[in-house]
Amino acid sequence: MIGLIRIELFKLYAQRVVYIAAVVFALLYIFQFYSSLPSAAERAEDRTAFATYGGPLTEAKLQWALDFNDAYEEERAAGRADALLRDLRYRAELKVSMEILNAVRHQEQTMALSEREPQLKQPFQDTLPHSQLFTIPESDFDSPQVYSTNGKPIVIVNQEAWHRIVLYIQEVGYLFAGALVILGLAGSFSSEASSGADQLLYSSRHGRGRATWAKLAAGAIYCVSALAALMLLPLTLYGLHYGLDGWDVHFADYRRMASGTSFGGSVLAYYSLQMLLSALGCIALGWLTMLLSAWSRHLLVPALVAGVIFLLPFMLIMSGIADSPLVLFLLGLFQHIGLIQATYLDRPSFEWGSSFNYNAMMYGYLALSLLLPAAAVLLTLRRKQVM
Amino acid sequence: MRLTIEQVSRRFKRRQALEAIDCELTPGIYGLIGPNGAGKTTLMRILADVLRPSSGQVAANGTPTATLGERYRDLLGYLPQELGFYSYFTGERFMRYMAYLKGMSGAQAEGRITALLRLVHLEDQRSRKIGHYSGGMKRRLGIAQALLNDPQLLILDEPTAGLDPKERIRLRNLLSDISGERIVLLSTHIITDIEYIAKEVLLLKEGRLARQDTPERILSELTGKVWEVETPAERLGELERAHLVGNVQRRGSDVRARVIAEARPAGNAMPAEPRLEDIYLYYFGDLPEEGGS
Amino acid sequence: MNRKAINDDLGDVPEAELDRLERLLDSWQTPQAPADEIERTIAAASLELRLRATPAESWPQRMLRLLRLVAGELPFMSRSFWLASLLLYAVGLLSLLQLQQTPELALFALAPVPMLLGLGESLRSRDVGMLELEMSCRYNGASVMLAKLSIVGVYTAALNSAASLWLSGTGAGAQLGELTLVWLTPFTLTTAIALAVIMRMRGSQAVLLTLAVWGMCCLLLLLSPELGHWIGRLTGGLGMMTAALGGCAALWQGWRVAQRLSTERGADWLETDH
Repeated sequence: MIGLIRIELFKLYAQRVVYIAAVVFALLYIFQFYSSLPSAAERAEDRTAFATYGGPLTEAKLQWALDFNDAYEEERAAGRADALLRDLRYRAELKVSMEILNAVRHQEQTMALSEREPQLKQPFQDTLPHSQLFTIPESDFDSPQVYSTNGKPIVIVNQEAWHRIVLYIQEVGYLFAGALVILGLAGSFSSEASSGADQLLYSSRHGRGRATWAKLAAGAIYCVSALAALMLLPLTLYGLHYGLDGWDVHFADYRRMASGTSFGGSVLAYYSLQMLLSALGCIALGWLTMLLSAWSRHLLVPALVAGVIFLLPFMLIMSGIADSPLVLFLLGLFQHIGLIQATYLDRPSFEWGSSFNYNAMMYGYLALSLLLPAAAVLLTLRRKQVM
Repeated sequence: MRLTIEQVSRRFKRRQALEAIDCELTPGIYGLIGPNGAGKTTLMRILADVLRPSSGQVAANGTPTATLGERYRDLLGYLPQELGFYSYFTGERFMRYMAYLKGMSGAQAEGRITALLRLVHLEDQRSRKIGHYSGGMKRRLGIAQALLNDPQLLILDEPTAGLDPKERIRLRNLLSDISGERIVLLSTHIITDIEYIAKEVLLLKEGRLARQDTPERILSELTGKVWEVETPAERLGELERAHLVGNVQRRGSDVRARVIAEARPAGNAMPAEPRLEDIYLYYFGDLPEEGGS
Repeated sequence: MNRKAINDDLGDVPEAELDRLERLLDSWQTPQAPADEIERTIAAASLELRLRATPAESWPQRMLRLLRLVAGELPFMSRSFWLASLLLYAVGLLSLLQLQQTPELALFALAPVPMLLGLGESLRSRDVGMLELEMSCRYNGASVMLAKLSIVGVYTAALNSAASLWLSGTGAGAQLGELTLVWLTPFTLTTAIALAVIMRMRGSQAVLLTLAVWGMCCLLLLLSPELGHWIGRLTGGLGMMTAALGGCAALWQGWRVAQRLSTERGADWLETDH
């Protein structure tokens, strides 16, 4: 079986189309990355500012941020802000102060919500007049740390790198992943049918069943490797230019992307889980493409159909077509984009007014999206008449 | 028509496919035989104006075919060894398409198509898609299209591949009938296809023309060199090591072998009438190692 | 010459000698060539006359012949190509117009799609193994391919022109000329790239690759409005220049593909071990 899988992998990785497409996608992303990348000097100032004022939030840092922001507002009112913003250091410090204040405001909003929701725990007492945050009376630090409602210190971190890395798959990465999966797997069965090689393969000692299992396994490995290759790109680029510090910071502290999250682990843990679910989503799309390939003798037909299925929700949502029952049905039926984006990872309920477990629903959908196409492929190949 | 092949050579990136081929073809049937890799298909492609030679030229009645261009191709009928089809075409549509490519008008094509499809026994399959044809049917369709423009030069590369014996005989007879005024060049591994109809045989070996002569003269070379030997099966190996052995028939514990040797290879060897198949073995078969082993 | 004339010219020849000569000439039989040699001479002569009667064509005649070839190839092109390309174009246009009210992105994105699909159709004979046979015909493989490319190119241009005409007439604010420049650039540039790609791989794979890459570029444009704005810059001089460059590149690549399928270049792809 391992040998069969190896042969199938060889056939998949021998396709030049996949490498050319991957290179083009990489170039597109690199172009987009560098066209929006701040200068090295700006990034260096950001690093310095976050090193000085970032990390676990203390009262002193909070006070600094308030004072800095007040001074900035004064300058802005006087019309002198533009000149100040030309200074990279000032801009960097402003960025840090805004991060601190946003974190504080977020906590205030969370507190306001928690007061209306008595089930949230509030272990500490508020001592600061201008905020409703909790502090410990004494600590080993120079200044008392500022804690959030979950009892952990608020951490101020430069969110740019991990924000972009985590959101990559949700912004453009899913498009690249979907395209590579479809390109690579559209010919998995159809090319053999059109060349007549299927007659040889089905008459081999391994039989159709084992050969098909091997193809499915190879397809899954290919999907995972394609996704891994794509994900390596933002990791490498952001790692080189921003560094990957903050990998151990709580995901919740990345407020720009994690507002309202229920995920309690670090950003790296979140990213790892996201990648796992994305990989499974890619496999679901890949096996669907293979099923379409098993039904056709042409390369283009399964590719185009899979592409339409993949992009249909995207087009429906972007076009703002009214939520008719048909549209809702289509959106519910074809969720491969959502599976690859893995946005359901930390969304406990869906915003349709009901509080059903969206997570569980998507996990179930993922399982069906994996099982059904695989079963259909096996059934199709068992019953296929070689022409 | 006179087709002259003058010092034709053809080199691909990695190897020399043909080297200094020199011969002249006049109306009649020519059999082109040689082992795999000898250059038969390459030569046929050059004659069909699909390939150009690296050096040398092909001339029709003294005019280089490169100069003649499509006027030369007007005289051609070509059946490649590996022939593909648009599987969604019907047989008739394919013939119309080929007639169009050969520059025939609709009226000219109409009669010819029906007659040729009848000739190759595909008239009742004309409306079926080629994708549903058997291998033999596709081959016959290929032969029909080669005859569409009533060519002066007919180049057939393995035309009988996939045909049943009845169809093969029919094709042989057809070629015999039409070869009077045209040059027919026919390559095949089935020696019996040309044995009785070829005017001359061209033997191609490793890109060179080893021999061009009538079958009778070529066969006369082997007079007295072809033997039939009956020997116990366990001694067959010994025989094969010492001589060129062709057909072997098993008869119980003995074998009856057809052997090519200068002298009687065994005491009970009987002389046999040479056949073209023996020529093939004689020219292209493995020679026994020196001294035997 | 009669006997009297001979007598007058050859006065010193005796009568007996003249009689002998006359009898010799009377009994002379012209040697006849063998029948097969006569047949061969007639065949060769008729062939030669045929060849001389059809001289080489001039360039205008070749162009006219190409047009006839184009007209002849049309009924033999696959119906599924016409259907699929028209459907894809129409549905894509309506969807993209729904997404963005301005028509530029829709025209830009869909401009090369029928051409890309048609490239696979144009080189189908190479993929199915009919090219060798076509190359041996009067209208050889390269001519047929050029004819099909012309058909597909004109069809794509016609679709895009019709869409531009419709959109300029619907009052979206765009001029016909500007809209034409918006679709000309991607049409010509993508065709040039696709032709370069199709020389190196099977037609269906090349079509899939170019469609996927082009689709990705257009989706990124859709998601990045700041990038999408530069499509509007194609309506002026920049658009004309890029369209002209793209057109030249496409023509050059088309010529290269024709050369590759032509016997002159050597057709190394026909190398075989038999």
